[in-house]
Amino acid sequence: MSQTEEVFKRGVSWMHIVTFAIATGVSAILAIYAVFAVPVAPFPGVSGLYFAAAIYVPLSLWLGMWGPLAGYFSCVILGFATTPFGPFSFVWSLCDFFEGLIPLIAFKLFKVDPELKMQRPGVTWALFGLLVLDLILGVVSYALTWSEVFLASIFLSLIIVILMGAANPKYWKSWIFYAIFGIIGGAFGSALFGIGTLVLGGFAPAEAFWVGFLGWFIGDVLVIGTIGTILMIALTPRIKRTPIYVRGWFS
Amino acid sequence: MLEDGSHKFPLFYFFRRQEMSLKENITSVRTFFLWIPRESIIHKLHPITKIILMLSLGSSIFILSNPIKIFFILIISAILLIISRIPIKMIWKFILASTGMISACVIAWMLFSIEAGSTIYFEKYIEIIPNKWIWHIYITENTIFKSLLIGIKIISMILVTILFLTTMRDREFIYGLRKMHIPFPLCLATSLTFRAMYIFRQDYQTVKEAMMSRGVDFKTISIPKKIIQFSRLFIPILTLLFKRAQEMTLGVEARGIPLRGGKYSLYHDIPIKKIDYVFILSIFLILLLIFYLPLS
Repeated sequence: MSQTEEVFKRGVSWMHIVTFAIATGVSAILAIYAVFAVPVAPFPGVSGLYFAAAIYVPLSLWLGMWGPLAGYFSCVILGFATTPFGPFSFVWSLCDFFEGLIPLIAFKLFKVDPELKMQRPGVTWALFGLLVLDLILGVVSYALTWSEVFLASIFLSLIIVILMGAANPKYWKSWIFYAIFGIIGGAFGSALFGIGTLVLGGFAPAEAFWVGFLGWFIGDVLVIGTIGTILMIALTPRIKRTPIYVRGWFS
Repeated sequence: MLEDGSHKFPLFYFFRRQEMSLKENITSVRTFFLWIPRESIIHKLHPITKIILMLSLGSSIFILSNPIKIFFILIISAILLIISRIPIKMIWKFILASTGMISACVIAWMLFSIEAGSTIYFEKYIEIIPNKWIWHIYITENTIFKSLLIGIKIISMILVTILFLTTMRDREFIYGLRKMHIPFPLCLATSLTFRAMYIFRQDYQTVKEAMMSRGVDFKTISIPKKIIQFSRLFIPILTLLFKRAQEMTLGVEARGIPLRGGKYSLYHDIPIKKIDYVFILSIFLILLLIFYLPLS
């Protein structure tokens, strides 16, 4: 006996375009606010506590490719409104595109459910706090060439991620993927590309790369690890019930 | 202090003040840009001309590396700003904020970059962490040259940005995109993005005030608590925005606007005049001249 499953192929609709536009507007305002509130000298357009990053990762996991695109266009608006980059913003803004794209690719390729449910909330939050602190220590030790501390922090972060999965055995895949690709991967890719292009574009000296990278990475890890995670836990089940939720890449 | 609470939001405070100062003599026009109405040639240009002007000047500043050539572009931008008759008092806050950014960038270049040169003006080693992190300050004539070059680049780019934002409304910008045959859904998305910024500002204030009326203090709490409160703030805001997205979609669909293959016409049509052609041609000629100037 063969089982048949009826699948409706959904294309891109106005719902996706409108949601993308609104997400872009909100992200742009958050980005502008963050750059004014916590700037990182000598890098124009860089914030030490980039609130917009907190919604880039959840948006990407909810809206598919529209999430990274919202990140990209909001960063273009930020570039034109608050920085002297002008048309260079079209290149630089790819940093925020990658911030959402990295977790999106990982979740879609491995078919991971983005719903983060907690079986042991206390332990999970404690591990989250530890992971954020460990990541900050890891990046600082790498910048200061403390090889032993850096290796120890990498090893510790792996153990923390495994423990997070173990603390939530039913949803281990979602937690591990979110920690590795959502928090670490997104922040790392974005900081590397963002500061790298600023240096290559001649807007900042190469010698100050680490100052910018540290400020960017730590700021993003903090906001994605805290605000982003809370948003994912609270809103993902609700969003999944609405037509806004994108199951494929674009629809 | 403003009634809508926009004084707590630096950028919006600036825009709101602009809007309020304009209300005195003209009808206030809602725009995300810093549009200031003036009877000038630049204001009367076609949106496409303004977009081309901004893109060509901005790209040139980025491509060029000769300070004299960049200085010429700075002069062109300044002349265009004078022609546009934008009063300094309306944009002085923007200029003040930009001055801070320019100074920070120039100083940072001097302190962080290491450029070899024949004359060393200042050299110092600062041990931040012994044997691990030594900050080497090394200022030569090339360091100063490079810092000033960055300074001129940033000033020129800021002038171009001011010119663009003060002479154009978001509505004009979207019209320009339509005329440049950018797909209609993308133009509508751009328009909705600008509108979403206003909606977000209102929602943000409403939710924040509602939380404050229930005893949440955003000012005196510690940073970890602030992050938690901001997370709580974002949940209702995002829920509201997604609800609005669904409503807006229904609105668009109810109007029967097709996503693909639709033939759209424009209600208003702004013709491209001779002055637009003259402007585009002269800017291209001037830029070509600057690019091929035999300067070392």
